[in-house]
Amino acid sequence: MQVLVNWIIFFLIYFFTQIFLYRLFKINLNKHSIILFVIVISLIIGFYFYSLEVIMNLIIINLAIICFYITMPGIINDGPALTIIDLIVNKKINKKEKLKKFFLKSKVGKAIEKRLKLNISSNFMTVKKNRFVINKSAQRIVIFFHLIRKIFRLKSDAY
Amino acid sequence: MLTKFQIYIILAPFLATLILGFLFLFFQVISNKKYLFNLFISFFLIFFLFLFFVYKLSYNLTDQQIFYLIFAFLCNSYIFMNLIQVPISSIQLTILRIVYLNPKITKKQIIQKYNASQIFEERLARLKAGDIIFKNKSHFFLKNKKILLLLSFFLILKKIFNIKN
Repeated sequence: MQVLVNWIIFFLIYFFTQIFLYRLFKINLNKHSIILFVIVISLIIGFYFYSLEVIMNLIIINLAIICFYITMPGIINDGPALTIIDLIVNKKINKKEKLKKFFLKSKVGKAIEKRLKLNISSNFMTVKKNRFVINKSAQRIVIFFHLIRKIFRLKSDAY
Repeated sequence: MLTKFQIYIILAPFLATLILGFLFLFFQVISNKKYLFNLFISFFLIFFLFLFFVYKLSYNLTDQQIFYLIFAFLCNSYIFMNLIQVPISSIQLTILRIVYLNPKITKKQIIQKYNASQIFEERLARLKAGDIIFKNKSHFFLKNKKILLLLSFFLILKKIFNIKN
């Protein structure tokens, strides 16, 4: 029971730190560099102590941080599917034409521009004379997810 | 030094997630029309099998080890599900792929290829295909109310983080 209480306290502290930093300073802790830093530090600590308890705790901390990392974009950016459901359920807009009009007026209507900016700020793309060029790391990401899509036979928007 | 049993404990949640991946692949090979259904069925099957496995071993496990096994499996499954979701619906990845296939493309050309209107039609079609919404005389209604849990989850988090819609 004590283990569970300790972990709940850890997650609450981590969660409230994120809220505090984001609400007050718009600082998002969920960045590649921070995640990589935590993983490297954990590996060093894991090799140094090499005990089951320490390794288990480190794996749990890293997994929880990665889960937060992948959840944050869903909170910060508006998802199109959830926007449509929100319009249908909460705003009671059911007719297709009206639904589309409200959808395009909402933040999701500017999703392409926002994701373009996000790709540039994440160093996935560069702009030269108004033309976009993808970087090496982003090329690997595109190929990786292409493989995922092929292996699992997924149907997607991107292809 | 870690014993063999302790190494198995550390690896167990990862192996279970690997099996989840293979089971999902198996279901996708049989039918890939409803990937979300396949994903959830695979997850629940493996999760209950994993719980059974933990229950059978529980005499030899400490509270911390039981917590680790269950929590690490749940986190791994969440990461796996997100990994599957990214190539299906990520706008950011779609843009990256468009630029990857069309180097030196302009913003105008990107928007011609992929825009909000297209996203709306695609998502509406996917929500319909996934039995989440249904159409009745050009009007759309919610069919699967479980999606409201996800919507509430994100709306609450948006409020907590002070992100306006």
